[in-house]
Amino acid sequence: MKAFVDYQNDVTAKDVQLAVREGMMSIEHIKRYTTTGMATDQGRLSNMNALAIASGALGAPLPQVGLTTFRLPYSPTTFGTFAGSSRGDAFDPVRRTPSHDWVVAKGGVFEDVGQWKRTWYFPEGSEDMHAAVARECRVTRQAVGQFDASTLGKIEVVGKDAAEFLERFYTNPWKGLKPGRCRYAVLLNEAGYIIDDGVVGRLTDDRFHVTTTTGGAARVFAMMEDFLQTEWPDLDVWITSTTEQYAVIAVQGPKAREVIAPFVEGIDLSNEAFPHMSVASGRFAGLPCRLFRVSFTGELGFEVNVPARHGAKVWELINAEVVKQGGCVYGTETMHVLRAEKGYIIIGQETDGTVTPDDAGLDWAIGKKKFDFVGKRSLSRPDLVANGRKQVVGLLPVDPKQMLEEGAQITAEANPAKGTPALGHVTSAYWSEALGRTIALAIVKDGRARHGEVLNVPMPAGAISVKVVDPVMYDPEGTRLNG
Amino acid sequence: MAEIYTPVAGLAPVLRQDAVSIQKTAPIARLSFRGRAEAQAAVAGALGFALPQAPLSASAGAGKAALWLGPDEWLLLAPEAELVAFEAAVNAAVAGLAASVTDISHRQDAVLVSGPRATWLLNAGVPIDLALPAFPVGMVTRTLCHKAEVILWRKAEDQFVLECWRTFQPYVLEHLLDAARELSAA
Repeated sequence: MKAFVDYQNDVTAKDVQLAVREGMMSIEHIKRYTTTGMATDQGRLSNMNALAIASGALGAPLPQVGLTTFRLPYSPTTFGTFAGSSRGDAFDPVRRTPSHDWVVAKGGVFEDVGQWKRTWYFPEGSEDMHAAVARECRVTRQAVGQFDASTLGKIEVVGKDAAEFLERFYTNPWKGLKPGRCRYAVLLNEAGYIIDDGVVGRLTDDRFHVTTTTGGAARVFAMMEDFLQTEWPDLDVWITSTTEQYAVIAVQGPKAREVIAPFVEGIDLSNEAFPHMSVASGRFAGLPCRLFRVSFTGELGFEVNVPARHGAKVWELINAEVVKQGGCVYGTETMHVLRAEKGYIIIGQETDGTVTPDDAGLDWAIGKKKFDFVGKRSLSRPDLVANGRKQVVGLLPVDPKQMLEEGAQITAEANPAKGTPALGHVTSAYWSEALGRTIALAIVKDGRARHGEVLNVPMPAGAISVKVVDPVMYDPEGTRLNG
Repeated sequence: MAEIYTPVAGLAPVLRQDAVSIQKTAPIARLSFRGRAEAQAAVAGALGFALPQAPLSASAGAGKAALWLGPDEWLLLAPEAELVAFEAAVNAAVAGLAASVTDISHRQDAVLVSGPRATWLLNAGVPIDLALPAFPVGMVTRTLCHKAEVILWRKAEDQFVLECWRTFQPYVLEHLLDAARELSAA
């Protein structure tokens, strides 16, 4: 019969008897052999019974068997004692961006992104989230939107081997990038899977401004340091986190140039002098500034980097111009919608640690002539070059009002037989104000060869038919980037 | 010698008790310097004194300071108004040498923790031994205050600079203020 003695460690009477049969004589050995009395209650619930069973098995009186050593805490201790001051807002750091107080005053709604508070959306009047996001999307594409991008990880990579280091670290080529220009960067792990991305700007021959995802900032920094210390200590290059040095304000939309122009000194903002994917140092509202011409919306866009303590002031200055131009502030939800319309992936949403650059349609971001980079060798592994891998695609529900659910499975059949493997899953799903319909991104087996096919997303209320399309669903020619 | 860290003029202390106080400090210029031996020697020209080479030590002079943070890493401090000139001077000193100079003036914020119970209060969140023989005046280290990375520099027997990344300061202060309640109740 199975009779439990220690309820925490699942020790039975039979286990104690077996310990004795195996030759354990001392109660301390019986304890270690069976783990009885070794759980967090330190035998409070079990020890006397275990000792009595041992006593019977050993044929020795209980007092002679003796007691085991108790360890702290052996009297009840409240969780509060363990937590100490780590409670409420002090449980984990709450990191706030320079626009935080302004957003609170405007009634913006926050979401937690790691330790950061980011503005999710800015409801006006009686707007619900859907209405607010639709308006923010519409106004940004028609006029201009302002967005706090301060949480993006920033790493200053400096030294005469800076380009060589980035060449080995990211998939892209860097040595040919001219000072004043930027490039989209993809980071793989050693297994060849995408783990981060960002934009890297070359400030001078030996100084780069690297951006990472918000959530990946600490991870990427640690990985860089790891490689520098253990793999390439010979390189003359150092990394410094500058995430908190700068407040970053993104200004996106056809009127973006008009918004920032009144403040910019020392940088020619024309398309010719400062095209898409440019970076320059200058002054903004009299403050030192690094200005990027980049876009995560598909619109003409700039990102203004100013020293962080001036961030709140610059945010308000820019906002006054944004209002003048008929623009608005937008939050992370609108940012997600606008980038999804353009098929720009988000690490951790379209990628899940098993997605390669080719799966994500980012083959173009690989420096094919490069001798090496982190993950390069793995990209030629048989399973990574085999047919049938899941690839990022766009999905348009056949019913344009039908919203898909993120994480939902995708199958060929509307009512697949039980046990049918899914072809993939929905990774992002939104109402697209610009397209006047719902859209989604997904990863689907052989997805690129399926453009035009109709697949199904089986749901409890019935299957949703979806058309597979190219992930770039809005402005496929990219003309809007030029303003 | 002029103190690098000074309380923000006209700002009430974050904490004021008989035995310990916490004051926010005014902005200063901060440069992260990384580099090899030749560049380390060259920085002395811009500083007016040599970089401290003993682990966990600091050097100061002419209104500037250099804090040893690692075998090839120093935090260089100067008055806020001198940032542009200071950064230019350090960059000029190491031009062509293996080094990195990065402005992190706004990345970090510091408080002064002062008073006879300063070590007691800090030890509510900082796990290292702050007894004088173990952590003498002038010693500087990068350590943790609860979950936040901090730089701790002992300026006097009963005064410390506690510096951390800007967005972590409210978290660090919340823990210290919570511990101070115990001190005031005693």
